[in-house]
Amino acid sequence: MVEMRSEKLNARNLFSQYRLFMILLLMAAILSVATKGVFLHKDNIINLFTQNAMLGIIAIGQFLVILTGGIDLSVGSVMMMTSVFYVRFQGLGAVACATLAILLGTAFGVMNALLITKVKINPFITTLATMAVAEGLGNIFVDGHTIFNIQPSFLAIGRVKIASVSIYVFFWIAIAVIMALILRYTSFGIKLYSTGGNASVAYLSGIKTNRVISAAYIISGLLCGVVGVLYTAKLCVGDPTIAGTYNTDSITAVVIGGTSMAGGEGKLFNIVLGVLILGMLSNFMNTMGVPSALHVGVKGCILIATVLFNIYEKKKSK
Amino acid sequence: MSKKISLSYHEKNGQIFRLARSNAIYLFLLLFFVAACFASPHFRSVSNITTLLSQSSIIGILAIGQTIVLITGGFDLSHGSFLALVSVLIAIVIPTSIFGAFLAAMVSLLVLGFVNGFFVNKGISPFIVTLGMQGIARTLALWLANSKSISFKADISVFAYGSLFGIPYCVIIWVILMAVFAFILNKTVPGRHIYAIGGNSESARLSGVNVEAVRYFAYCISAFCSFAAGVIYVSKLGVGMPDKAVGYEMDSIACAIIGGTSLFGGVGKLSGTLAGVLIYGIITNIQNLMGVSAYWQDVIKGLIILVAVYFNLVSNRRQRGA
Repeated sequence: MVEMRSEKLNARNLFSQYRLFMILLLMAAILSVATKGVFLHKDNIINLFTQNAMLGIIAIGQFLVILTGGIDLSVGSVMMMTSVFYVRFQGLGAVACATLAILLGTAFGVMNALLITKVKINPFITTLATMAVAEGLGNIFVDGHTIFNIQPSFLAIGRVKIASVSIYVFFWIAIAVIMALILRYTSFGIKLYSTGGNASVAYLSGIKTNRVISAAYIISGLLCGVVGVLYTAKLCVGDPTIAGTYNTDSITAVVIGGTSMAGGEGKLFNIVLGVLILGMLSNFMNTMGVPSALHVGVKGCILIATVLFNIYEKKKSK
Repeated sequence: MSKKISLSYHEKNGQIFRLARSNAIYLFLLLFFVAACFASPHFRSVSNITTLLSQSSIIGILAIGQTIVLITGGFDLSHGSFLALVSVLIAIVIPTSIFGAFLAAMVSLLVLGFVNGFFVNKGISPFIVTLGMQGIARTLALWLANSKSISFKADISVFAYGSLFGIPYCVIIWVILMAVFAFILNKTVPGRHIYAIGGNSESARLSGVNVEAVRYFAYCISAFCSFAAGVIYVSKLGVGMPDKAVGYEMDSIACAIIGGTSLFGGVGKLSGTLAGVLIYGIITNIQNLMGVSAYWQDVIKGLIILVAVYFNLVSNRRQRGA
């Protein structure tokens, strides 16, 4: 009797631990059936990863910020700004431009960090304001026009493939693995979790919480800069209208990945799964011929449903 | 003797400062107004002031709902999508009946506001709930309109462009809503309860406040304000636009925050929000008059939000210190 109960408990534990993975597998199964096996085709899987690599990288930054109990609403706009900045001054050469673009993204991260930790303005408001600033600056750089005339050297990175897989996927995996190792095995990781869990307790136990929080925003800005460069190299245009979906999608992915908005709780691996689930959902809706108008609504429903489920789960485990 | 006099002088000085600090936002508004008057002679004209007010009315009405939700410790990120949905609903139903169109839009919005309240009461963070609702309402609008803008024949432009004794109807609606909700917030029991659950929902619950009912009330008010703003919006456009009105929620939050409402709940005044909306409106108006590009306006908007919030923070800190 006791054994049975513990077995049951184990099963439940196992379920809650690998729930996202199971959802992912379930979706994969449904997709395979719906597309009569086309989904499982190697090219399609590679495509899925390639399409979501950029969102995946941004979501990692967003995850770190949400882990500290904050939020970064500026990711999409900073990414857009760096993506047009990258091809604005092409005379400098591709490497210099990419470096400057990434520095610009990092600068916005530093600005967010200073405003939040030094001036003590709430993260929501700070990043709302820097979002507007980045949006404006990005448009000013290119005067609201899309840049089509780009030298081939600037687009080279977008063409690199290793074993017929775009290098973007490797970037995504590399950044995720490095960040996961940092979170797991360094003191910074522990500090990040404890600052997000309870900032004042963390502060009283000797953690320099301001530094930890700053680091999260700066990394987020840096990753936005990187993705800005990657985005332009991939799409071959500097387009100042792309900011839109990245803000909500990165937050949605992080929340689907089981991260608490209050901070201090969440796993990086689950964020990768969250991004893939979101990507497969789009893939699924496209295959099923769901009109694109319905996509945002379905994502919204999933967002609310996930959190509702998490809350239910927590109550049950208590 | 001389010591006593100097003391009282200081005391008086302190009082003036304290008064100035607690009304910093209005001084800010005055400053902006005077500066704008000097910057452009066109700004001073009566017709421009009327334009300024009617331009601000949509955000002004949204900000009323936003302030109330923020005071409860919540958020409403669904405003922009709500505006689009109202415009589509009215555009679809209006050929059948004008009254029916307004009724249908109002009822649908109240239902969506109720849904917001429902999920927030389930314990989901309001940010997530209303972010989800933003997507859902946008999808509803796009789906109903088949992703196209819907034109209609009935003339309802009176809300946006008509006026009574020189005062535009949209401004009159704004003023009425402001008065009604200021009364509710300051003079009635539900108003007290809104502040109470924002300050500390647990202790409010323990002292007998029906926290869930108050949350439903707040999110429905916010949805109702979106309806009222949406009516002005659609009457200004003359068509139902399912894919426009993006980002209005950010404006309404910014105005409420500039006006001194706290993101953590429990603190906020509609009069402060009004000042916030007017500051926002003056900045946009004066930049348009001076021919500043829309892109620079974005940058300046961001900076103004930061400066205003910083100003509020400092004055609050000093007040607490004093």
